[in-house]
Amino acid sequence: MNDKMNETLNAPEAKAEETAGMAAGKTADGSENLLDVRDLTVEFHTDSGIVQAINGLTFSLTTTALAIMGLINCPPGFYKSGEIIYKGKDLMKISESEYLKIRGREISMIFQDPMTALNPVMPVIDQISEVIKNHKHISAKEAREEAIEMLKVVRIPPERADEYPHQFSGGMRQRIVIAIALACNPNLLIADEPTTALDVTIQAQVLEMMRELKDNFNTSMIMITHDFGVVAETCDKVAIVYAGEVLEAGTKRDIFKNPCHPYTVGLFGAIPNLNEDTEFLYQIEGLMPDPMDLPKGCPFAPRCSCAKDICHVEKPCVSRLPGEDHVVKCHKYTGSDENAEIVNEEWRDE
Amino acid sequence: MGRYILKRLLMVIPILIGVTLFIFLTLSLTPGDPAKLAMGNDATEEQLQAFREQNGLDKSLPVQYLTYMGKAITGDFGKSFITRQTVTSMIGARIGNTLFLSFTSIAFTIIVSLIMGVTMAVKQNSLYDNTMRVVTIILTSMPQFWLAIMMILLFAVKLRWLPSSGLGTFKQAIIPIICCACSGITMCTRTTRASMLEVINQDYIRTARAKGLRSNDIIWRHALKNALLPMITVYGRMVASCFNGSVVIESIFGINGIGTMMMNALRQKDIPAIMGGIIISACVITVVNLLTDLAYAFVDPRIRSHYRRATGKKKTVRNTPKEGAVTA
Amino acid sequence: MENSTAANGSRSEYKKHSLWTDVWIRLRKNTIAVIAIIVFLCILFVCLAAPLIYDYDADIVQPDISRQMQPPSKEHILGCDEIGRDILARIIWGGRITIIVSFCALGIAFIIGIVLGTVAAFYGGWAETIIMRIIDIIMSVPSVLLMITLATLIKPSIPNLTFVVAFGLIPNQARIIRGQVLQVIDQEYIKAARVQGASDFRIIVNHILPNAISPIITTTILDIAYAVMTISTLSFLGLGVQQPNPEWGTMLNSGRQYLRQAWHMSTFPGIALTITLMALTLIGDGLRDALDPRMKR
Repeated sequence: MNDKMNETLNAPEAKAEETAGMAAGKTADGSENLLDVRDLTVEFHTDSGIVQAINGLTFSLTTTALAIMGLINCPPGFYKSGEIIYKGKDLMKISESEYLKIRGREISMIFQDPMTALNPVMPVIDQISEVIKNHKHISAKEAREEAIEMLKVVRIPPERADEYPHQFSGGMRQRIVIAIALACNPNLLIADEPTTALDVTIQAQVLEMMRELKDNFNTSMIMITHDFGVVAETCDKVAIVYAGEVLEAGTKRDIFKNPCHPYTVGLFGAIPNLNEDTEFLYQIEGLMPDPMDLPKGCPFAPRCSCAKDICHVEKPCVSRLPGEDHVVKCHKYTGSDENAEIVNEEWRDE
Repeated sequence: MGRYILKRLLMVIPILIGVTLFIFLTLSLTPGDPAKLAMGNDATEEQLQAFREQNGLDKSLPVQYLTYMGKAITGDFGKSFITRQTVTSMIGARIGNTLFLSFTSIAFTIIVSLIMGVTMAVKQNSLYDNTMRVVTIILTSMPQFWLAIMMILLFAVKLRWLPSSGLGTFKQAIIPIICCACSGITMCTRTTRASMLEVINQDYIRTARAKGLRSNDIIWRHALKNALLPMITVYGRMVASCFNGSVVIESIFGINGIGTMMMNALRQKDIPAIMGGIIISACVITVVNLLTDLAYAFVDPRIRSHYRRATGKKKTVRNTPKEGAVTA
Repeated sequence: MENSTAANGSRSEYKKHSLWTDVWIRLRKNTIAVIAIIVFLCILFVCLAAPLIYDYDADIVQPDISRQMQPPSKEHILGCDEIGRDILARIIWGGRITIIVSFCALGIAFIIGIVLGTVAAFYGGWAETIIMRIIDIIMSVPSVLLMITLATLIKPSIPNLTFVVAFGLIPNQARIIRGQVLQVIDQEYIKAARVQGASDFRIIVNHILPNAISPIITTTILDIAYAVMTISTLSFLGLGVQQPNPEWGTMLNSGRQYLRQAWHMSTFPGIALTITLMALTLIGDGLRDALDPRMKR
């Protein structure tokens, strides 16, 4: 992995890359992994050599999510390397027509901004029934009926079915997007900051609904978010990602009770505590690294308060911590476990 | 909606009054005596006087204008000073050619530019796209009349494949229609491509792709309708420019249409014929503008609901969608 | 008070400067636009220097029947016309006339357009109604037809031609400027200037126009192209520049009658016209991209 990264960084043409490891949700029987993303590298080439819209975390995970959906625009994005294993198949290697059957049907996605995610000139019902019709190969009338059912599920009155997106509020639009995503009862739902663009009052409503639907539809969900409140509300397992790398992962309980990586600790420090009267919240010093020029060692090292010399030079291995599946990638914990190397392998496969 | 259309149609009336008044005043106040031009240089003063009396040119300007307008309302546009035919019959005999030329080239333009614009946007930066971009730039920059001359030179003079004038037969119509459509095609292709590219990068296209739709469905069902919005203004403007272009094209190919009629009437200061021609053109342009606005409402539900609200109220908002679209 | 407005002024000037520096930097990267600018400057230079190269009476007007319709040769690179005048010389002088007329027309239209558009947008009310209705009326007549009408009725001469072309440009200019001013007028800094007690004139000249004009530059470039096209069209129809004065449209009109005998007569003036228009279109495109980087691609 390290070699590969250096190689791409040293290549002459301008590029940025996202390397991310991501493992998600178990299948219904819980025996094997539904999705496994390994060493995924996506490059973005632009005319001027500048990569636009780089926004740290959001960028990296949104990119990964889009890569899973096979939606990276080419150009400017190119798959460089890595695998996305879904149900034992490498999604990078399947043909576009096979992919069409997976998108929307097996894996679907909820986008960040509901204001722009819906086609403004198409009645919402058509936008929902379209995906049903497309995947279930049923008549337009049946698809419409199913779409109306979906509207009821997301608690939008069916009599508003033929209205256009601009006639709905942001929260309602996001619920319509959720209805589109869940219309074909997918195995995996990727939610990319689904509540960021919404009002706080609406956020709770939408999250509540997502959690409920996830359980009812028996769907696995990957939630990409900046908000620990959302994590606490919806997730079972948590991975903390920084500059495209998973720094810490574990069950929700492990991460919340026992954050180990300095970055995770910093993130929790930034959450106001209701029981204490603090003047200033904790702030992680410095800025996100430039994705075109990632630090050689631990990506968080330049901003880390407990960084040592080794942190700047060498990438840390994965160390297993007490607790169920709790792993961290930090020099602070290297050697605390004799099986660090083995854990590394295990962690990667998960 | 019905009320809106009615309101817009009523707005045509002051515009027509303004146009006729403007043209009438220009005709009357510029040098050149229509009587002399009609009767020839060797006409006697009595003959000229008789001509003036016969055609009401001896009366004061307001009286002349009001008499003309009074008759025009009943559909009587007067008789030509030169040919002595009624203007209505003169226009009737010629408008067929002009409309045929304009509408075939408009249809041609819309079809060709849609297909080219969309395919170019989909295959952005490919060899096809780049070649066509160069071609459209060159063709945009070629003035219509020069293109016409060059096509005559090539196809009629050198290759002898097509005749160099007229509009009657299919072979005769080819060069005029291509020349008339050419500037429209290049303009529309360029804007369709730009508008398509803008739309393709929108979030809702990503949503559509995430649904697992085939890319053809996405382009023709989702993207095209959105891309058409800015195109409507361009199409509206193109109809006007086609009408413009047909004046030049008619004069080059010797086609007997409104354009040639106007050119001849202007040279001889044939006031009724000029007024008739201008009124017809202004009507066409105004109706096209109205259709453009309605087409917006047809394609864009946001504007449709805006109209519903606006017609409910007494006064329309200052930034009507039409103006917003034109300045955009 | 004085100080604060002065500071305001210098700041807006600084900002304007940086905007145009930015635009220039972006424009410079656009190879095609740079080539177009160079080509256009060359055309401009050659045309304006025409009197230094050719003598108007001897080279442009004086017929020489012995060289009648001579095809391109060493002495006359682009050949000669129906009465033996050198086509290259006439193209260069014709370009000079076209360019001078189009720039004058554009200048007139620009000034009148700014006045009308700003007044309509700034004062609103009946001033706006009258101006906009008149513009509606003028725009509801096909522009070529309108210009043909005007050009036929007044005596064909170069000042009259300038007037006619300017007249055709004014409505669009005024409308676009009104749109831009309307966009700017609601901004906070206009209210701020008003609160400071600035006069209407000062607000318009110092605050509104500098902010409203930059997007208009692109349309202005395209308007030059439109003016050039109109001048040639009118001349082609025999309503603009008259023989023996050279103009590209006039030359094409006479060339058209000898299409069978002398192809070069109607080819080269058209090529000159096309190159000029193409350079202007490409400059306009490049400027638009440079002014609005979001639209790039």
